[in-house]
This record gives sequence, structure tokens and C-alpha cells, in this order.
Amino acid sequence: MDDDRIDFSALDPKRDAIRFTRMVEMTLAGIRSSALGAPKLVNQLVVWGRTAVAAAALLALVAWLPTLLEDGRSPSASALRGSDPVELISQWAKTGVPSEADPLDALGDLDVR
Amino acid sequence: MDAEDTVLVARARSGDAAALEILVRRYLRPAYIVALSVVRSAADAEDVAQEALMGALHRLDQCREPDRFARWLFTAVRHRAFNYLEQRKLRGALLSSQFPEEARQVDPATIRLRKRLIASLEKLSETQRQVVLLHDLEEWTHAEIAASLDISEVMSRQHLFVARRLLRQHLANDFLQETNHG
Repeated sequence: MDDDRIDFSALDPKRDAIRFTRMVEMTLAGIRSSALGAPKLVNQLVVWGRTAVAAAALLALVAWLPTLLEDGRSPSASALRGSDPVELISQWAKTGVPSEADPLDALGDLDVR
Repeated sequence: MDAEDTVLVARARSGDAAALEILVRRYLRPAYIVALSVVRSAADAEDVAQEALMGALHRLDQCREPDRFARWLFTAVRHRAFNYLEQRKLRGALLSSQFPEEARQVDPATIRLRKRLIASLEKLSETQRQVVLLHDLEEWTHAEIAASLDISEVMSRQHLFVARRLLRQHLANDFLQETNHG
């Protein structure tokens, strides 16, 4: 021990043992909470990512649904529309004379009915 | 202490809660001393030491030389303490050499003594303050102080010698003034 030592005990945080123990506990609690905080954030980001993908898929399905339903209602018209004219004429030749509407449907979107 | 620190840091990095607690118990007071030498207020130094220790132990993987953990920690504490001073200056807050402990029922004699010691420490350089506090309060050897403050042992002894002389002079003058006025 050094006799020249200056007495700094008034500044010693360990002077108040209970208070110092509380300081240690608070510091440890702070470290634990910040250590737990990082994985929580990552997990949260993963959850948000999954939700966003699911929402986007649902929106795409909703947007696509009217088209699907329309296609289901008039299969002949949609089959005709946009098909190759040569194929159509050869098909008419095999099956007989087409109705009045079929050639118009095949040529464009005119509603003749 | 360095070899022990290396083991403790490795254990704490791998999530060993007991090692973390030993590091906190071992370094909270030295961190407080370093903070005190910058902020010069016991209450502020406690806050700074806690925050700095929390921050340092949370990013322990950034400590490249675990055998020099103390030096790495003290650098973090000093940065935190200087930032704290800057923020306080920006906020225009009063230097808390008025102690918040006054509200926490610390006896008036202790508060007076603290004020006197802090006022005397003001007369020293930051390194002198750290050396004298680490040596006389924390009871570290010159080898430990030199390693943690990145100075030579000879300089540590020199700082201690000068610091004690200045402190004694100031405290003696202070005491004389008080007795003359009292």
C-alpha cells in the first residue's frame, strides 16, 4: 500500500454498495435488452417481408380474377378472337357455315349481339 | 489481468452471461473514473460509464485485441464522455458540479467533500486525473495504468507524482480559505 495515497472515497461509487449493485444490474439489463433487440428486429423484418409477399400475391389474384371469369363465360368468342384466319376458315369448312357473328368476332371487338 | 480479460472477452462473445457480469463488475468503476476525469461530475460520470460499458459490451466483437480490453473500453468511455459534454453544452445545461445526489439524500459533508475533490481535480490534466484516480481509488498498478492509457510506466509515475502534489496544494489552500472565512 502507498501512504501518499489521496483519499478519493467520497467519489467512490462503491461507497454506496446497494447503489453500486443497482448500477451493475442496470448495466447488465441494458446489455441483455440490446442483445435481444437485434434478432427481434431481424425477425420482425422477415415477418413484414412475408406479409408483403402474401399481400402482393392476393392483389395479383384479385386483379386477375375478372379476366379469368370473363374467359370462362365466352370461350368460343375468345377462342375465335385473335386466332389465325386461315385456321378459322379451314375449321368453318370442316364444320359447316359459321353464324353471322363468328366472322365479326374473329375480326374484332364489335358487339353484334 | 490482461490474460484474464482475454478469456473473459472470448467467453462473453460466445454469450456467457457470467463472463459478461464479471466484466461489468470489474470495469464499471474504472469506466466511471475515466468518465469522471472528463465530465468532472460524479452523477454524470456514473451515467456515462454505464452507457459506455453497455455500448462496448454490446459490440464486443469489434474489440480486435481482447488482451487490451481496458484500453479499448477507456477509449469508448472517453468518446462517450466528450459527446456527453458536447450535448450538454448544446443544451446549455449547467455543469452539474451541483450534484443530483443532493436530492438522493447523500449527507452534506460528503457532498462538500466531493465538490472540493472535483474542484481540485479541475486543476489537473485529463491524463493526470485518470492516473491519480486509477491508482489511488481503483488501486491499479502503474503497469496496468500504462497499458490501459497507452502511456509508459515512467510517465504514469510522473503523472501520479505531479497530480498528487497539485491536488495537495489545492486542497490545502481550499482548507485554509474555508477556515479563514469560517
